[in-house]
Formats: sequence, C-alpha cells, structure tokens
Amino acid sequence: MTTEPVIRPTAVSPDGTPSDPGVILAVRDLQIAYRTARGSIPAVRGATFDLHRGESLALIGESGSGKTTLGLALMRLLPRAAQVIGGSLRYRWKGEEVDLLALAPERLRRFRGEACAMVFQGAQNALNPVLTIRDQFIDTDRAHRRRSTRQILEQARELLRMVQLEPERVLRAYPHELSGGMRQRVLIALGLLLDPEVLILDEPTTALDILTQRAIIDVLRRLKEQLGFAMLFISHDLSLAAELADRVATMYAGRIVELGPVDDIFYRPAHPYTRALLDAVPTLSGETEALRSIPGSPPDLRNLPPGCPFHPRCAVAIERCRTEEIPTVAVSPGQTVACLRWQEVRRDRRRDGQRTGSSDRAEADGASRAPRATEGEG
Amino acid sequence: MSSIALARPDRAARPGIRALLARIVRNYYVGRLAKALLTIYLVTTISFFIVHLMPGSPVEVYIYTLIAQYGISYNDAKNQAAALFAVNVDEPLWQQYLDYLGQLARGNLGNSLLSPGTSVSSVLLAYMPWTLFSVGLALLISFVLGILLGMLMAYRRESLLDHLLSLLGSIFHSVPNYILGILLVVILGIQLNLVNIAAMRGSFSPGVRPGINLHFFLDALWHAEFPILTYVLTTIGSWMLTMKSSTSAALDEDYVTVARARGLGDWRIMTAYVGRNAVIPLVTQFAISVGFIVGGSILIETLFVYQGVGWILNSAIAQRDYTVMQGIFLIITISVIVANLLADLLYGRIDPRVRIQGESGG
Amino acid sequence: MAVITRSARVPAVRAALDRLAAPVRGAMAALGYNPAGRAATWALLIIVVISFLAPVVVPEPPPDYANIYAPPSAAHPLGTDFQGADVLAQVLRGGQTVLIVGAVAAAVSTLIAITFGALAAYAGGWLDGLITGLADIVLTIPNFPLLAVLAAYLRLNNPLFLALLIAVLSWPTLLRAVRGQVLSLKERDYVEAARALDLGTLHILFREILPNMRAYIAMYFVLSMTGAIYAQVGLYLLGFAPLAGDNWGIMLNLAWYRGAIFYKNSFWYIMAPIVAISVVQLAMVTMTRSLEEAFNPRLRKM
Repeated sequence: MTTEPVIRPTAVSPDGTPSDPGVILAVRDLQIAYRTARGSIPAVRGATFDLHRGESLALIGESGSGKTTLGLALMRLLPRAAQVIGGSLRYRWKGEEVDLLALAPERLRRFRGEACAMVFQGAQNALNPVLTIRDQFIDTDRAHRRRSTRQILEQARELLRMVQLEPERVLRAYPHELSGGMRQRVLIALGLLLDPEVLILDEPTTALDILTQRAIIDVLRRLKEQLGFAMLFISHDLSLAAELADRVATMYAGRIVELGPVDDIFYRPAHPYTRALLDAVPTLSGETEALRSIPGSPPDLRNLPPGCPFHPRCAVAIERCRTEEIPTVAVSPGQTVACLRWQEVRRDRRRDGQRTGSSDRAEADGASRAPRATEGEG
Repeated sequence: MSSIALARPDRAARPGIRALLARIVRNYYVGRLAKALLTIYLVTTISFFIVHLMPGSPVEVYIYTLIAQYGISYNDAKNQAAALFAVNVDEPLWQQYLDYLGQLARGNLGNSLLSPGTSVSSVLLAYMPWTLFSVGLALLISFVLGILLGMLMAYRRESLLDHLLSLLGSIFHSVPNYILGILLVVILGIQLNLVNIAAMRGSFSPGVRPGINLHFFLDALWHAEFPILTYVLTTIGSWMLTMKSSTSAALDEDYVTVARARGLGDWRIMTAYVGRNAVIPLVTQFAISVGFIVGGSILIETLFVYQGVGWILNSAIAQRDYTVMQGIFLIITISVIVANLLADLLYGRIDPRVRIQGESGG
Repeated sequence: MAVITRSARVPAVRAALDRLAAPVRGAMAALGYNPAGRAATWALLIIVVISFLAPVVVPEPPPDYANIYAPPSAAHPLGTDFQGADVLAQVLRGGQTVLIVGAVAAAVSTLIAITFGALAAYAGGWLDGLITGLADIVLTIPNFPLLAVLAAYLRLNNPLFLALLIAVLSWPTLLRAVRGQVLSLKERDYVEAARALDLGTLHILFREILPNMRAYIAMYFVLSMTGAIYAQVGLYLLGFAPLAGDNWGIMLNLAWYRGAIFYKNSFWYIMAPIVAISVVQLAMVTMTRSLEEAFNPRLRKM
C-alpha cells in the first residue's frame, strides 16, 4: 500500500516531512497486531498522519477500528499481547528528533508525562483508590522534577481551578468520593501538570452525562487556548470533533480512511464511511427523515476480505473495491482519503447543496443509493 | 458529591444529638468494635453454661470427688469448689452467672483444681508469653515472606518459580500441621541428625535466666524453632496464593496503566499502586490465619513440648482441670476475636473506600 | 408376546441406567478435569478400596514381643511396632475408621449447612439473622481446642459420636456459602416463575435452587472431609479419642508416644500412617481444585 505524504493545511509551513519543525509527532505506516491463541490479529494496518504543534486532531472510529490501540501505541503503553510490527513513530522532543519505538526505558518514562500526556476515561479505576488526589499529584511531579510540595500543590490548585473544580475539596478526597465527571477533570489536570506538548485523550466524554460532557468540552477548549498544547483525542463521537478539532481523521478496520480539516470533513466528506457517520447523526434543524444507520457490522479483523474493508457496507462500492488495494490519495490540499469512489461521494454532497441537517438525499440521485452498485467509475 | 451543585436538603437542620449518634453507630470502627464485644460476651456466656449445665457438671463432679477423696462434708466441699470455680453453687444459676461475669471483669478466673493455690490467671500469665512469642513471630515471618513471594509469583506468572512455589505452598497447606511437625522432627532430628531435638524440649533451656537480654532471646528462639517452622510452612501457602491473585488483579487495573502513562517509576508503581491495593484482601486472611495457628497451637506445642498456652491446655484437659481448661479456652477465643477485630480495624484503615460507608459488609 | 415385552424392557432399562450414569459421568469428568485431579481421584479410590477390603482380608497382626521395632524385612515389609506387630498390616487396616468417620462427619455437616443455609437465605428476617449470628460465633471460636475440650467432657466411645461432634462444629463455612448462593439465586427468573406457580417453598428449594449448587456442595463435602480427618487424627494424637482398635490416628499416637521416632529401625512405623494420611489429604485437596476448575465457568454463567 502506497501512502503519499499528508499535505497539511495551509496554516502551517508547506513541508510535511518529519523534519518540519511545525510537526511534533509523525506517524508513518504504523502497524500493530495482537498476539492471541488463535494467531495474530491486526488492529492497526498502516496509519499515517502528522500532528502539528498546537493543533487539535480528532481520531474518530467505531469500537474495533483500532483507534484506542493507536493512541496507546503513541505512548508505548500497549498491553503485553500487542506489538508494533511495522512503521515508524517519530517525535520532536526539545528540538531533537527521537524515534519513539526505540526509546530507552528511562527516557521513555520521562517522555510520558513531560512531552506527551495521556488522559484515559475517568470512569472507573483510572486513579489509585488508596491515595488521595493530592498524593497522586505529588507522585506525578516527584517522578519527574524536584519541586517542593508547596510548589506542586500550588500548580495543582491552579490546574484544578482551570478545570472548574474546587481545589481544596478535591485534593483532600479519594477517587471514589468523586463523581465520574470530576474524576475526568482531575485526570485532565494531572495530565497537564508537567506542561506537556501533546495531550492525548481517549474517549474523554464517553460514559458521562450530557451536562458533564458539555462542561468537559468547554474546559478542554479553554485549556487549549490558554496553554497551547497539541491535542489528539480519540472518540466515536463525531460531534466532539465538530466542537474541538482542527483536523479530523476517521478510522475504519485499522486504517485511517480519511483525514482533513474539520470543515472539509463535515461539509465535503470524501469517504463513504465518513459520510455514513455524518448521516447517522441526528440534528436539531433539518427534516425528520429516517436516520440512516450503516448497514452491516464491523468486519472481523481476523478474516479481512481483500480490497477495501468497508466495501460490504458501502453504498457506492464497485467491483474494484472488492479486489484492489486502495491507495490514499489527496483530494485537496490538506485532505486525503483512501477510497476509489471519492469523487462520487463528493459529487453527491455537492449536489445536496448546503448541508445543515440530515441530508435530503432521497430525492437526489436514487441510482447511486442502491447498495452493491455495480456501475463503472463515475 | 455530584459534579453539579444541586441543592440538597440540609441534614444538619435535624437535632444535633440524633445525627451525631447516627454517625457514631454507622461508623465502621465502632460497628466492628461493638460486634467484637458482643461476640466475647456471647462466648463467655456459652462457656459458662456449658460448664454448669452439662450432664455431670464439673462443679458437681468435683464436689463429689472431694467428698470421696477427703471425706469432708458436703458443705465444706461445696465451699472449696465455690472458691476454685469462682462461683457460689448455692445461688440460682442466674445469680451464679452474674457473679461469674463480675469475677471475670475483676480478672478472677478461679483457681486451678489440681494446684488449688494457683490462680488460673497466674497460670495464664506464666504460659502466654511463650505462645505469643512463637505465634507472633511465625505470623510475622509467614506474612512477610508470603506477600513478597506472592508478588514475585504474580510478576513472573507462569514461570517455573511460580509453578514450583504454588505446588510447594499447596502441599504444605494440605498436610495437617501436626503431621508436618512430626515429619520435621523425624527427618531433621532423627534421620538426618541435624538438630538435637531432645535439648529443644521446653521453651527455654534449664539454667538460662529469663530476662530482657540477647542470650535469653536467642535461647528462646532456638527452642521455638520447630513450632515456628511448622506454623510458617503450613500457613505461607495461602498467603502466597492470595497475594499472587490479588497482585495479578491489581496489575490488570486501569490505574496501573495510567500510572505508567504519568511516567511514574517502576518501584513506586510496585509499592504504592500495585502493592498497597493487593494487600487489602490479605487483611481478612490475617484473621483466619490467627485462628488457624492459635487453634493448632494445642497440637503443635504438645508435640514439641513447648510450654505455652496450648501445651498447658492439653495437660489441663488430660488431667480434667476444668477451671484452667475453661480459663485458657476463654483466653484463646478472646484473642482470636481480638485479632479479628484488629484485622477489621486495619482493613478500614488501609482501604479508604470502606471508611465512609460505615457498616458495609467487610 | 414375550419377545416383544423383553425387547421393550431393554431400552427402558438402558434409559434408566443412562440417567443414573449421567451424573456419575459428569462427576468423573469434573474430577478428571485436570491431570492432577485424575491422578488424585485414582489414588483416593485405590486407598478407599484397600481400606475397606483389608479389614476383611488381612487379619489383625498379632504382637510378637521378641521382635519389637524390627527393621523392614520380607516377613514385615514395613517393620514392626512397639509390640512386634506387623506395621504394613496395621496401615492397610487403619484407613477404614478414619475414612468412615470423615465421610459421616462431612455428610452430617453438609446436611446441616444446606438445610439451615437455604432456610436462612430463603426465609430472611430474624431467622436469617439468628442463624447467621450463630454461624459467626461458631466460626470465630477456634475449632480444634473446642473439640478437644468437648471430647474430654463427653468421653466418646463410639467413633460415630466423634463424627457427629466434628460435624456440629464445622458447618458454618458451608452454610455461609450456601446462604450466599441461595440469596443470589433467589432473584433468578426460574425461581420467580416457580413462585408464581405457587410451587411451595420446599419444592423450590430442593428442586430448583439446590440442584444448581451441586458443584459447590460436592466441593465442600470433600473439603469438609479433609477437615474432619484433620480433627479426628488430631484428637487421636492427643489421646482425647478412645485408643481402641487400630487406625492411622492411633498408630500415630502410639508411634509418637512410645518413642518410635528415636529408633532408626522403626522409621516406617511412624512414617506409614503419616504417608497414608498425607496422601489422602493431598488427594482430596487436588480433587477439590480440579472440581473448582471444572465447575467455575458454569458457576459464573449463573
């Protein structure tokens, strides 16, 4: 599978190779597989993207798409059963380019937290139940720097205020005394304690109620403005991307099938999967037409059919989709897609005109709606 | 406790005393203490009624024995018995019971039937320290070694060490402790002639003066070797296995991954994150261990002729010295209850999740 | 006519045998779930058979005072005891009482535990509180010292009384387990259905709930048997159970207290009962573990 270098949005410098100082994390053709009793299961099959300083990238996909695995791999926190079997992972740390996959244990330990911090789902057990929040802040800091307790707590209090929590009460508490939303915010504050350059968030709003979700989203947005870190967040929730992301990548069956600026993704999607995701989200405005859920189910990663993994569920799939390796192509400066039929997808979109709600595609080209369309290239 | 500041009905508006009492009753520590006291009380009562209500009540038996042996009058015999048993046989049973409790509270457990001049309490005081010494030391060694090995086994799962230790641990745990004791004596002492067991009888060598000095301590330790070794071998298996499973569970928890993501060092994770969480279930195990060892002390101490509480209980039973029997049994049971209580209190101390909820199923 | 009825009977008999065989086959499969369990089950079976056959086949070995503590020889493969009697014969004959008392104690204990555990869980309320409280107290009191004290008071002449005494003190563990299981199963659908059909408490207990706990009960029976053997032999060792007859516990007592350990020749006099008892205990514990492994996935499904 050939991959063309990603062309970043024009906001940053034009050169997309890892040596560009604007790029802080460069992932090239990353492949990760799980070793099980029944053989090797590929979870990520060649992911390529760049993360730029200060930008906000959303990685969207269903469960089983490999997004969490990819996120863990960036910090080299894969479980024992998983292994990186190909590709490269490079990071620009303090002006120097490091190969994350080859990083020595001690440097890796410092990397985690100082350069790149990961915030997990705060739901159940992400915090040590027997230590107070105060102790956990101190732990984190002591592992990296030599500051006095007073200094650590001062910064902790400030961070807690930034995430809209009451510092004194939270610091004294044990994790089980806090609600899910509070724990999530504590985790975010903990992640920012060491001033990382990149913050990776795994499902930051899942398992939280609507009001708390809103609070977290606001907090994240404000933090990013104030502190200027790059953010990579992993979710299945497209609306989160709409709120927080500069760029969006959609993942399916271990591959990044589309990547581009948030506006392009939402208004001019080029991949049938992205489009299907968008169509499945209800909106307040627009007609109450039947929501289109994506027919079929995610593929079994052990027995992937040749060609595009999405073709069994794709509305515009053709014969070639079943048999050929799908290359990633550039649709426009800054947007790439791995689809043979992207022009078709885009054309439908343009025909629909302005997209504000669920699409009125029904009256549009009915022929291309047929599942298993076998027409030739549009 | 919710993230959204909802207005909640203000509980403090209720009368202060009632709220305070409610909090006290619901407090975890107080609850456990009350339960322990209740159990002690019940055991004391049960033991009293067993002694006095059983067919051929020991008190009556003793009275008639005295009459037969010494030809004294019923009244004299009755008074002697009353003094020895710390009861008054004339009074109705309920009265006797209350008297008994009263005496107990004052520390009077009666006198030994065989050596009427010696009070049961003095017998206890003479022999308890030895048992405490051997049992305490054994518990400590077994616990520390057990959790270290258990953690090692969890970190090196499925390795040769893991399988070997599991096997050894469960073998030693299944074989009855007295049999292990006999085996130790037979194999180490006789067949291999490694240790001079004859000289190891007793809790300390003749001629050595008891006191706070190193020589005495070492001597006592030498005499207590076999009992301690037997206790340790028979209990370490369950410590290891429990620690191994709780450590494995802790290692799988999210907070360990998160801790690594925060860049914490391996040692810190092993002690404060994995270790502290893994040890929590072991506290209940501790209470069971104490019961097991104390219960086995009667056998082990008799076998090794180690003069502790178990040994004296055995000879009291053999010689039908009921007052001593009763007193020792009571003390043994009370110490197990106290150990359980301590374990419960400790549990509340080390697992913060239990504290706030008060009377949760510990 | 006769031909027809005979051939009609055969399948019926076979069906009945199959129904009987099913639980047995199930038990064998569970016990043999892991290889150690298989070995242990066979070992135990062999020991049981020997222990029950030997008293019939092997006569009680006569004392031979000229031959005290003789070393192992062709005539006495394990040597002789303090009276000159053959050790091997004693060991072979010594298992019967131990195993019977163990089994009886386990059976009575299991029965008490099941009945009162199910009752407590099902009835709830003050009855539950009372039974659980009692169980707690019995559980806290150190088992063996109490046993020793009671054995001394009661002067047990019949080993079966010994079994009863042991049983009376060992039911709390299983009771709590049964109660816990019944409590959780009480809320299951099929119980609700049975209750809706008004099938009666006893019926529900014995037909719906308990059969599902077969695995637990089997495991605890075996474990409780190990406990009973432990207690039994312990009492014999201390001399609190009557020293009449020959069983492993008595052998142990006599060997120890007559100083057999001090003679190198009489090594087997003390070792024989030790090996026998240890093998039985180890076999039973291994069987339990195998049962646990076999039944756990099924229990979890519940």
